[in-house]
Amino acid sequence: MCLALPVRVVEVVDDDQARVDVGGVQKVVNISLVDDLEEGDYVILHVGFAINRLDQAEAERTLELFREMAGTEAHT
Amino acid sequence: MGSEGPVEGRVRLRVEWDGMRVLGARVVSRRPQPQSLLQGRDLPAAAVILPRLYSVCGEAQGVAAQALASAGELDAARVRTWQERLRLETVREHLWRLGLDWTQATGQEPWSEWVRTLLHERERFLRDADASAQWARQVQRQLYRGAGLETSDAFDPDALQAWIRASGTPLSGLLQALSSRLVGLGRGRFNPMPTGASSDLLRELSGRLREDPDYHWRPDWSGQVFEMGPAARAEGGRQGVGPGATDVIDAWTRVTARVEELHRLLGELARGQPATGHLAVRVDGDAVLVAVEMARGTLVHWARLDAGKIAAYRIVAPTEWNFHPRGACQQGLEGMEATGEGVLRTRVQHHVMALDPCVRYQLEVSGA
Repeated sequence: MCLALPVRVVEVVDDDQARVDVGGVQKVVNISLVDDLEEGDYVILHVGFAINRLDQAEAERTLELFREMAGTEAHT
Repeated sequence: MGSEGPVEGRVRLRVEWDGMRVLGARVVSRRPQPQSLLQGRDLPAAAVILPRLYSVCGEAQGVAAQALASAGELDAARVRTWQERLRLETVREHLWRLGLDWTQATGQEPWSEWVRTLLHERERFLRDADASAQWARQVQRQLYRGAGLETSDAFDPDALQAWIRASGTPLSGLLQALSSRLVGLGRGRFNPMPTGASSDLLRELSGRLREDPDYHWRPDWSGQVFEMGPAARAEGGRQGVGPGATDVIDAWTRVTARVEELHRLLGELARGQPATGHLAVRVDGDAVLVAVEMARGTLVHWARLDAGKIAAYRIVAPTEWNFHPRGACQQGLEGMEATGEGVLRTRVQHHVMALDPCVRYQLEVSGA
């Protein structure tokens, strides 16, 4: 049940690390499992690792699903 | 686990600790369900949405949702494909836990290359059995060289200790680092879920999910809370069917069970053997239930339909069993010894990691 929340890459620090934006909070994650990441890419995180890249449209669709889920969860 | 955010949920652990040992422990697992997203949609739509919501277990969630959507017309070829997908995901999960999480927890160099290969080559491996066999042979050789597992996937305890002292593989080095940390840790009564979701279990789950909208938070089977995961699968397999094991278990046994299961699955791939993971479906009037065996244990999806649309959708994940208020995590915390809060937090972390929740946990310590 590890949720696949897309996060945006703010800065690629080096081959293994990037700074990402997680709901307004920036954190450094390991990017060694994903090739050729660039600033502005969206990735799915798992325990501090980026595990795959999403295009922006797919990321937006997925984030919308989570927003819907969070909005209704708050009332259940 | 996954990225942080209000939607993700947490396992919350509260322990009362007197400075020497844990006197009491409370475990609460509350995480979001996709019910609100799926209500009013049909099952095929759910099968598209659900894999997008989950990361490392996305394959299992997708298979369960697809099986639910096609419950009336499951054909053997489709089931075989799902089983192959589940097996590859399980191999990746085991490599992840061992090569990324446990290496990180013990300050060792991670072995990320194999996880990376499975993330990138999954579809090719599903199409090309020779490619996956070659890869599996290579991984097995590099990790298990000299482990004495040529005729069995289960370690002889003495041989295991000799191997981890003498061998130089990344796995033996990791186990050497873990042995002193995990032996005896989180010791508790072992009550493994019997292998293969039996018809009795499916009937009870289906009935309880229909009657109790909160059942999925605190599942039980006839009042018993079972452990899930590689250790439970190994023990359940040895026992055949039916609850009743009363042995004890610790974090070391749980981790070595994962190591043994990884060896077995790599061996299956290397020999080109078909996957045989359990997948079961039950239809009860307007409701359908699917149980699939994934890395962490039995994953259950249940849906009740009204005029072809989803009226209710529940997921019972293995984490809900292991992190049940009376489950394996709670039992292993009770009586845990630690002479400082830092030590306590590290021991709790290792106990939790051995049980492998799919979300982060939060620990509150009181009473010191």
